Amino acid sequence: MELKTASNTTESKDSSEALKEARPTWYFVVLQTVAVLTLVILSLECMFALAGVGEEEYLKPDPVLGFAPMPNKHVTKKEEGVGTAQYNRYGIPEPERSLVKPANTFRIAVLGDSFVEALQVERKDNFCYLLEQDLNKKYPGKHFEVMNFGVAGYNLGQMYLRLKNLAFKFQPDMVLLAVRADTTFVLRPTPAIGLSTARPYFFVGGNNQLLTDYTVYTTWMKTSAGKRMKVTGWLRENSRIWGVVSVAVQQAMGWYQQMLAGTGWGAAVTNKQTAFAKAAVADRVDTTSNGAAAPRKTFMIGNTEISSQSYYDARDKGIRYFWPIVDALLVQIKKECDTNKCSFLIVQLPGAGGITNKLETESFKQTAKRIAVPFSDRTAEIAKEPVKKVFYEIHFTPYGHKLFTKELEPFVSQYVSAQLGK
Amino acid sequence: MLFSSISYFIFFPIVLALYWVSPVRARRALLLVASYVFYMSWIPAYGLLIMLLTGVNYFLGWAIDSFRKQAKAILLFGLVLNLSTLCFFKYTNFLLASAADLLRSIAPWLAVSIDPSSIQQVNIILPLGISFFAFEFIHYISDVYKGTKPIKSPVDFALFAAFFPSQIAGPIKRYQDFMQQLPNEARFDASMFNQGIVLLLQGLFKKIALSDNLAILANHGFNAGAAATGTADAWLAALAFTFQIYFDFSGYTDMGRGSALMLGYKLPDNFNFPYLATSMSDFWKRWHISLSTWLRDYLYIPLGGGKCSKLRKHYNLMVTMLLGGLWHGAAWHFVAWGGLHGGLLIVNHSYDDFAKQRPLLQQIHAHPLGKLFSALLTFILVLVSWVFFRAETVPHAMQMLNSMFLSLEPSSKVVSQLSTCGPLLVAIGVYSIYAAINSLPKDMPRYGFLRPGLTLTAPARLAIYAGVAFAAIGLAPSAPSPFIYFQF
Repeated sequence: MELKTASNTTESKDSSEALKEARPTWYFVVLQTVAVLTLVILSLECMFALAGVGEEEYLKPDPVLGFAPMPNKHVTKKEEGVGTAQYNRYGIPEPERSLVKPANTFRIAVLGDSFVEALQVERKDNFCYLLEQDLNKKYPGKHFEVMNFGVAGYNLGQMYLRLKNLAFKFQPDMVLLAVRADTTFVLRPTPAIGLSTARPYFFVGGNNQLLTDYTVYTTWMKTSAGKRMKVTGWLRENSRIWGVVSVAVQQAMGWYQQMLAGTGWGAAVTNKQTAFAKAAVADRVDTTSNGAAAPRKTFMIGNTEISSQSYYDARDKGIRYFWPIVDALLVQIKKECDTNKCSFLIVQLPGAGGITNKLETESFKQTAKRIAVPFSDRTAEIAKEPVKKVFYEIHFTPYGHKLFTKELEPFVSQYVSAQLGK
Repeated sequence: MLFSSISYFIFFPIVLALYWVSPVRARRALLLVASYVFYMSWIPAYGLLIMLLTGVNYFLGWAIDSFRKQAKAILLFGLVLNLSTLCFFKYTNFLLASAADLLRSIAPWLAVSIDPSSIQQVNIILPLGISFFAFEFIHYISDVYKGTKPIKSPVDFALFAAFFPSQIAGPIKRYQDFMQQLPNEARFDASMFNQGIVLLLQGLFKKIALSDNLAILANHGFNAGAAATGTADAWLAALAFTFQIYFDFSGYTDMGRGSALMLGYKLPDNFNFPYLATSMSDFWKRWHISLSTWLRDYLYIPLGGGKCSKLRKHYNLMVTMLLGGLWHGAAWHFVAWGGLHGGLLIVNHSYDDFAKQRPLLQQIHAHPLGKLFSALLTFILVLVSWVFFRAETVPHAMQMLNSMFLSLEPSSKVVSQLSTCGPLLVAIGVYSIYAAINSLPKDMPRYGFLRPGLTLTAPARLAIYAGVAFAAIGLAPSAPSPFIYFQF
């Protein structure tokens, strides 16, 4: 009995000591956690850098342009096709170029939005690069640089400001403005819902004077989201983990929106959704199988309908109230080009997934004619090709860029030749 | 709700928290409700189908046990009921399409004119996991017929059938194992919980970082069409699919098993390094173990198994594998896949019989180089068989095989995609390091700190878990692929 008690005592003593030994002190826990957390963060940063992920965020607030690409940023986009780009110190997705134009060089500054920026494809596949290659081949002895000043989501006014504040510094010989459906649509003032909508807006005052308004931008910068953007600026520029977080948050928000809409519970395959998806697929098949001759009725991103040709047609009519602003901006760009002794050309691009804006295109054409600016609309030629071959969900595929270059090159060459006196 | 979806990562913590704070007696009912919520998040109406099948099979089990004289008839009725439900949902359109094809091909020789287009496809949406439900019900009534005791509590039986971690893609459970674990609900085991988190994260990484990235390569190759697929492309696509399906299915199983462990339940393992198998029969002991053992116990052995003439044994093997192929999907390319495996197993068994009497061959097989050669040969055979599994049709599979072995085209469309495969390559690197650490002997103390749950404090472990989840999310492609086994 005694022995048993003694043994019990020893056991309980042992176990309490073991417990004491097993239970770490609070500072050990904190120290270990900090060390592990640091190691985890560093490992993730290295891993993501090697894999090229977390590089989607590349726009920063800009008091003049509203938003602009971060300088020296490496970007990998995986939304449609996979595209990588290294922005140079001026925030252009190009190799470093000197501000002073080298001798015997002909520079073309291309202005536009995401279609020009082309982060869905590698640089070697975008039309700016392909055009540069073509021109260098066509005009031996002359060195061509086609510089990509496109930024996703820019409206025509922002393109003008980018030309004025950045592109002209590179002494371009020619300015090529690539316009498309959203170029006018995003001129209409709307409350900012994020950085990509916090932009300057433009109005036409007395005597057709162009007025710039920063209310939306400054108001958004004062919101908690705007302030957060300022505070997290360093992380956004340098941390890939942050990039992954921001994409994950966007996806979670998308999921939340679907939940609110009643379509997002899990990977729900409700009858309604199935029928909807089937209709969308049928529509796509219809538009692609007959060589894209038929207008596309439904345009999908995943399971979400974002627009249709009829929607675009209605929108096309609606944005006619902003044509005077477009006119004023084009006149201003023309004036600036004349001052900077460079030619000015306008080219019409197709809209998202091949959609066209006939009325708007006509308006561009008329204005261009009035101010004596060459205008080219090659959308009809592009529409002859199967939609799926030319476009991802919205933007050009590498094939689309190649096709567009083929259409664009003769138009540009005509004016290059004239300018070179050949 | 996919295990890798945001919905699940909201649903599961809620269920987990409710489960462990609920009184013990309420936990089974809670899990049952959660399982039905999980199932009905797809197509709510099919929850009623599963409920009905569960009720009928529970009653059949009771009836077989209570009326032993009529047990055979009741069993037969149960088998017909479960199999016909499975056939109706899964094979109706396949049978109709096959009948139409057959009519179309024999129409010229028939005196009467039959219009094959009069055979219309029926609009049936396959209830998710129906094959797994059917197999578990068949196992239950068969085992009760053989003499094991049926489950008394209808809640326990319904939970066995609908348990959400194994609901959609298995593993196919055995009710005896499951029932033994029911008392586990009473105690919280921190070590099990920890293992569960590790398995859940391991599965998440396998699924979204490895399988979904491999799917991009495989899809490029298989969707390119014969003309666009060169030899290297076809091999790369087949190789990518070989690993895609492994990481997809084993990832899903890991997530299910991890979830179950966190709830205090152990589900059977479904994989044991299948691509290290040294023969085809070894492969089936390592791949989808719960299915292969089910097929063995409820199809191969009842057919006569291996204890009969050689010819009959081969016939049994072929029938089992053909039906196993058809179980995977209602299409001829799945049947071809099953048939190919059946054929390879027959060759394997015949060779084993041949080698048994030849000591030299046995010595060669025992040598490490012999084992390496066997493993390599088995891997290539399995890889080739996956072409039938992944292809859309048998001619499509033949086109891929033609590109792999005969046409020798230099096109490298898929190979060129490798330059954009940074996330995949990093994911492979990370997983290889993890697998290497995991395969170290457990008694190596200097590596002990790398094993989650041994010496790290809870906050530090939490940091690692968050890091792994983050790595998986970061390396995953923007468009996730659905789980391959969902369609079965």
